[in-house]
Amino acid sequence: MRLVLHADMDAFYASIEQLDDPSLRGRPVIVAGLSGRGVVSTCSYEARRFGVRSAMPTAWARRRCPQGVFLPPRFERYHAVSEIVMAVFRRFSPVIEPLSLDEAFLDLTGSEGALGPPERIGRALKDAVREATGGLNVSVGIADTKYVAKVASDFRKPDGLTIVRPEEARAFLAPLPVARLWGAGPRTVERLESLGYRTIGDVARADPARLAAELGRQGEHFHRLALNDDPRPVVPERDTKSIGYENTLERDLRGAVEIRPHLRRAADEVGRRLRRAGLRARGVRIKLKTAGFRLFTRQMRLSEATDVAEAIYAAADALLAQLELVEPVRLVGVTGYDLTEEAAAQLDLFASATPRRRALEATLDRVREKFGDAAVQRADDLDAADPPRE
Amino acid sequence: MKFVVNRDLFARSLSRLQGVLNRKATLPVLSNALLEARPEGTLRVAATDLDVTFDGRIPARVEAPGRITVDGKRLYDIARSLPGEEVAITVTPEQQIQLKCKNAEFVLLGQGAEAYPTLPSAEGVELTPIDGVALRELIDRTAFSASTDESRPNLNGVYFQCLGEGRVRMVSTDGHRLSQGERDARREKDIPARDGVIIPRKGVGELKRLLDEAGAEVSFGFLENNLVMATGELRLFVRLIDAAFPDYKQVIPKSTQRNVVLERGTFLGSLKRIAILASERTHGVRVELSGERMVLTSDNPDLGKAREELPLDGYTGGDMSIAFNSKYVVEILGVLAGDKVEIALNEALSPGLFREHGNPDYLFVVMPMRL
Repeated sequence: MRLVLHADMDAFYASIEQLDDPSLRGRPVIVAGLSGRGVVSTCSYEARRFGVRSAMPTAWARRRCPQGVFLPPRFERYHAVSEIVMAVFRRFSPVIEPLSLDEAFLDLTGSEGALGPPERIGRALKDAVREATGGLNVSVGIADTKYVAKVASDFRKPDGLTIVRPEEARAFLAPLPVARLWGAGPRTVERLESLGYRTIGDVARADPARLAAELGRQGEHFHRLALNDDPRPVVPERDTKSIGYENTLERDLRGAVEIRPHLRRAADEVGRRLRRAGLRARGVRIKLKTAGFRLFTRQMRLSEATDVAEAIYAAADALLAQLELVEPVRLVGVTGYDLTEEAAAQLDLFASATPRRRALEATLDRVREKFGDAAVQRADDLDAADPPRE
Repeated sequence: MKFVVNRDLFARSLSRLQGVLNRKATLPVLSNALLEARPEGTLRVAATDLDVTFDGRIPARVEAPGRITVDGKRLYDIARSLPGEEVAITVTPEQQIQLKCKNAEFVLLGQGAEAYPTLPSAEGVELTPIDGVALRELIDRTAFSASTDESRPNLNGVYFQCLGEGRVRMVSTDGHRLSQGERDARREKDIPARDGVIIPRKGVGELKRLLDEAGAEVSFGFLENNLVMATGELRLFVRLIDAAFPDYKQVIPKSTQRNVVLERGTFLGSLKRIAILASERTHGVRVELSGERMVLTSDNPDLGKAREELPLDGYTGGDMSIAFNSKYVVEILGVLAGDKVEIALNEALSPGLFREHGNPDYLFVVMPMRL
């Protein structure tokens, strides 16, 4: 039987601020972009009581919580703490899959002999994180699948520890709202609810054929999740087979002109993740989902492996041209696959812009690492940015 | 619509279309061939995939003119397998196509020609005679290095330029290597100079098909963004790639310090041997010039290594070491004619130049690898 642990730091950025400045403890701390268009990165649990949420425009947050302490993010510090936290995770398992700075899966299969029962492992991990960081809390979920572990870590947040045994998993999931299904965005939730599925239990009891007819492959996927059937393994970064990024959109897109900026953003993110992992992709794949939930994918091989977003975008755009989309599109994704650690040995005839382009993108990586994602943006994205829906 | 045609001519005119018929197209009608029986006694046989169009005419006894489209692959399979010399074809008002040949009879379901895309017309296009044999040689020796990477559309074809005074040039490159050929292709009259165009790989393939059939007697011209090739009653239209070909001249070494001449067959043989132990992914082989010899080596950490020496009598260019993707060099040695090959090098990370000894018409540039 597998044993998967999901660890998720509580209000990570805000907690670091409270840790570093004891006068902030117990107060609503909001880490946010403070410019006119800034949004909230993280807020402390004290601030959440005022209705402040991540991704909310800072201006709204100020209105809801005028007494809040608004701080600009200090990404360098957060990265440093993240490294400490990940190092703690690695003491518990050699197989860890970080999802972001403050979140990771650990494969604990077969560790019970050495580390004791899941409860003890969970407690030990929480204590070790608190000790290594000087007081940060992490919420932990342990189950036999990644999906249930992730749902469990969120179950008693903050400072939670939830262990779901395989035989209890379906009963644990059943009363939860369908929004907790992995991959169900606001509109999928709407659709599920309009079809009469309110809880995960409703989905588990549904006729899989009917779900598939109504939601396509996603329907089958949800049905399997609802039954705790999630065979995905914990994949350490170095074994990654592909690196992708996809985004379900606030608003449906029509035509290549509207889709391209989103492909570009996804390509930027894939390039950045490749560079961070020290990998290059020999193939590029795009994925588009239509408003009618039809999935289109196209892929191509590149003449040389790349980690340059510009080259990934060129391929993605060529793939987009192969699709004749009539329906509006609700999801846009780009993936780099067939990854290699080797730098290109073959030199290019047209001492092209590639090396300079790579240097530019690597510089942007460092700027964002230091000052946050919003520090440098494409001019296109500034125009396109509309505040998230409330 | 009713006509009688010679079975061989009919089958041959359909065989040309096979590379153009697109059975996976979103427009199903693109898997069809267009047949048009014309009152002056010809049958037009044409097909397009919207990028490449073949349009031909063969003599026919037309009893009732008309137009129809029908699955081009099936029609070809039937036409070439029919037993007799003549095929009689009748199209019913229900768009059923009846083929009769001796005792065999077929009925195919057709589709009205109105749904077929409008084909380009060569009428009014100024056609210049050109030597098809020279063109064919240029394609054979240069097209192989065109890129298949669709994210680089300006490299997905062969650059074709008329240099004036009857000379034409073809260039292709995938960014790692480049092939250039030049020939006098004049026939009857001068070929005026004009800016180069990029013929897509698919179109180059169809052009080869036409040249194989036509021999020397072809003419060419341009219609909007199409290259038009004509021979007899056959027209080929190829939509050109609308992109700028890279500045290829700047990557051809102007002068080289280390020049060697080798027996082509000997060099090819030893390169292929050494490449057996090259990395399966990069195919890298190291070439060292040392004293009066060339040393080829490969080293594969998983398999082992190989080494071979070739004498370079009288070589004085000095020692150096460079690595190439052996596949690129093997391909060049394969398209070169003649017994001897000239290899001209500068530095380890500068492009290498390969030519046929004594033939200035062709040159090949290969960018080295960093091994």
